[in-house]
Amino acid sequence: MKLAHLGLQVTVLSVMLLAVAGADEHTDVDTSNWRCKFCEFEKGFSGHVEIGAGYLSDDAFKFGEYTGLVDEGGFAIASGEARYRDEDANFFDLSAYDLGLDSRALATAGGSQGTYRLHLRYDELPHNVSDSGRTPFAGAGGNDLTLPAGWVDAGTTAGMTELSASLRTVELATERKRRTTGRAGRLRH
Amino acid sequence: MHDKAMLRRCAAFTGSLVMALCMPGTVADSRAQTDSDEAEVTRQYSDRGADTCLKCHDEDSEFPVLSIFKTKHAQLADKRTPFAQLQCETCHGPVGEHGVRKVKKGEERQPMLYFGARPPADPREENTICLDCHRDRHRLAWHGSAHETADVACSSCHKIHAMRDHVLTRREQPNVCYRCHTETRAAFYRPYAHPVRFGQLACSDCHAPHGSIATGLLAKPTLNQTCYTCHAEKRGPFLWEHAPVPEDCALCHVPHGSVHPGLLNKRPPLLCQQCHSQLGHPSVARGPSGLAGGTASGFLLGGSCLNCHSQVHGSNHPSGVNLMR
Repeated sequence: MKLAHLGLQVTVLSVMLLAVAGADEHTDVDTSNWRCKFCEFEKGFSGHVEIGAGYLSDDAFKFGEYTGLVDEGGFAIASGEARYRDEDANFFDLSAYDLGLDSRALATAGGSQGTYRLHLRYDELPHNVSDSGRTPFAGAGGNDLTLPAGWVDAGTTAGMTELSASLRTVELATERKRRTTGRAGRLRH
Repeated sequence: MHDKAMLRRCAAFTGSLVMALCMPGTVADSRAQTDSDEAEVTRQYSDRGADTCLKCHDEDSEFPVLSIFKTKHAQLADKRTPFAQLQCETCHGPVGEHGVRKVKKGEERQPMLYFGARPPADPREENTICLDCHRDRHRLAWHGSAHETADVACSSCHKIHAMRDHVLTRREQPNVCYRCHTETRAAFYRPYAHPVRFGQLACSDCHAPHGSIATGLLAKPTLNQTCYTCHAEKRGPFLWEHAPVPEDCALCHVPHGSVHPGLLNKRPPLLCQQCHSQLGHPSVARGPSGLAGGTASGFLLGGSCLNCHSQVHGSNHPSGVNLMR
């Protein structure tokens, strides 16, 4: 009984000692001479900007399916990034893509690394499906579709005598705009 | 410092004593483990920290590392980062004899722990070091995931010593994934595809590369929930539902790219006819001979069945039972 009690004490002592030793894993390394004089930590602002121009020689709906570059003519485009870092772990990032196109995007984030982070993003996503559709309805793309005056109803297409005269081109497309924002932080530091 | 080392040795000794008393069969294994541990202990940390490494590993060396100072890993004010701890040796381990100024002729320099996608890197050992810090909700399902069981290393996709980790940017991430997923890359070049190659979507918008509870490493628990994150208008609830829609989008669609409009997995009306019988409805594609004027079949033109059943994902119109309005 006494031996068992001693065994329990040894086990508890062992666990306690391991806990004490493991809690500070790296403190047994002597870092007093670690100057890090070759370490080029990033500080201040940096960034780059790209500017471009182009010309589309013909209408091309499929070519610009997800960029909006569908109509003949010139266009300008710009992108860029900027960043800031300091020795207190504060940071700021800004990026912009495809400014000038329908697929533009803008994102920014900032905060203090390891403490909190705020971010904001906006981007547009066009989807051009077809520019060759035709419809007799007026108001395509809106909430109210109306047939032209003098429209002749019929059970077959051949009987719709006003159809050919009233057909108009309609572009089928969608445009998404995404806005996201958020905050992340650590409860304990 | 000396006291703590002593404490650790005492703890190890006491623990060994307890093990020897309680489990004598494990003594031999324990001794073998101790020999192995002693081999590890002989490797010493450097006297000068990162300066020991950087005197050789500058931008002109075989393994340049200076770009790490433009990353989150090199932030002294954030005590979680490697550079706020043991600098290079936090991840690469004690420098040992690797840091000696010169090696004898004919001898090889003692290797450091190497992070890379190819041997001699050990993906499991390497990933363990990364996961030691990067344990969060995004990696809960890493163990047992497709990438983990395929021995994919963190460094297979991530670049640590680089200001820009390509896999973390929406426009460049797909090229990292395509290194292995070549079939998926081909799919995105089909005429109807999600706009990944235009930089508008990243693989991680739908997939969770660090593990998921869903098949295909999907970001959401089900395929439909993943699709609804963008295609919310298809979610419903609808007064008149189309049964396969809430069941599984993949019954009609392929996710990456298709030769059929709308990323359908088959051309209508053949797709619709997989479920819908021709009885009571002219659902069979008719040839020109059956039509006045011999024109092409209306069922093969435009949206096919969707010419009339345009609300195929569901309708809230009181008269929308046939999904026509």
